[in-house]
Amino acid sequence: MEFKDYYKILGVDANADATAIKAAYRKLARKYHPDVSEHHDAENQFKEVAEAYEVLKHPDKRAEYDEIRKYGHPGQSFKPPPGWQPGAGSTGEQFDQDRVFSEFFSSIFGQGFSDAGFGGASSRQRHGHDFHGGGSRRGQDIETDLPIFLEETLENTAKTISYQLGGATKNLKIKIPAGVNDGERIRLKGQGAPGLDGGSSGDLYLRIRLVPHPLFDVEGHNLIITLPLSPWEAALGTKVELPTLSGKVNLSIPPATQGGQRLRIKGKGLIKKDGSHGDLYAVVNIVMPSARDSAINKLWQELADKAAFDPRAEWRNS
Amino acid sequence: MNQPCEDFLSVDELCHATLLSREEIIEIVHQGIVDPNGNTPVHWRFDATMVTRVHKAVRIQRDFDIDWPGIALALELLEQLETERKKNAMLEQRLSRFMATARDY
Repeated sequence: MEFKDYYKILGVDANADATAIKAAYRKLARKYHPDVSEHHDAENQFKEVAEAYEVLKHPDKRAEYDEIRKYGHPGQSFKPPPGWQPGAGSTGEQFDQDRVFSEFFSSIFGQGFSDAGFGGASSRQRHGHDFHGGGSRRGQDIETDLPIFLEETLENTAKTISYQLGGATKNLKIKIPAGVNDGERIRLKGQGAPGLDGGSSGDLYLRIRLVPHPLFDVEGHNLIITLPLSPWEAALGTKVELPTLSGKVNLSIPPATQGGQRLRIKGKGLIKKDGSHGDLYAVVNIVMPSARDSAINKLWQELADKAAFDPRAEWRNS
Repeated sequence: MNQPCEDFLSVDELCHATLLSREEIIEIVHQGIVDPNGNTPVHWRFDATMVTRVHKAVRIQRDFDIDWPGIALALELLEQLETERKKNAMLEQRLSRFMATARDY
């Protein structure tokens, strides 16, 4: 078990006052809070910061920690001194499931400490919604991401998901209804953390994350694909075989198609909850052939000599 | 095979799930943090997205020690930020598709 220097984690001196500790915590919370931060390791970073603050903000617990700190060194293995009673100074209340604390924390304070004053949890428990009858307590809701391929949203899909529950990995086979979209939540009743003392289990909430597709971008229920065309295809019009999420379709390109133009393929987008479909848009990208081909360059020159076309005509009037 | 539960939560069920009091839920709704279906607290129903939003509000309240109007503002700004980030990522991806096509030839 590694020793944790809570002062170092918060970036304060060992003699910092309560105001300095609070300010340091708030600054780091804004940086690492998983609901706020884009930092790749935000959750673990915030756990460390929150744990450090929970100890240092309580004068009695801080004093307890300061005693322990005499025996430990950051980054080194740590064992509590002989005769140390974990949580001897705590209230002895139920462990707070709102937070997950390190082994180091539990070895010093035991499980009883956490409920004595962790955020809003203890005050909320006074409302009595978590206790029923003989003190049973509902398990926590859990929220986790569920990556879904675009193709999978077109019809009801069976998926097996894995998530962490009480330190173990739980696998669950679930039905994902057709038409789910990015950011949507799916609730699975009773699949969250188990309750305590006969309390009911919490729920599992899956946050849908659409996996980026190699060809298609998503705009609401519409899909967008980039369609490369040669200059002569754009000029003269053509037919192309266009990939969609559900097979290929033939698309007619009208003559004089402009670069950036959006061509709509009705009903080939994502499916909606009511069963209707969004559209697929092909965005034209006119691509030039290599300039090294002298035969083609000769044809371009012929066109340049004969065509009376000024693409910058608007500039002349300004 | 587990089926998604499409039942919406009542105020009491939301209290139970979030450990908030009925008064706090009413305050959260009045602050516009969530907008349940139904006109009065007795008839309010919260879908899965609303429940997770309330959970997020609770976490922010606990970890930042700010009041509900402040949380409402924070959530609003965070969601705007997420929308803009998604939009930006999508536009960057589309731009890279255009550039990749141009380079290939």
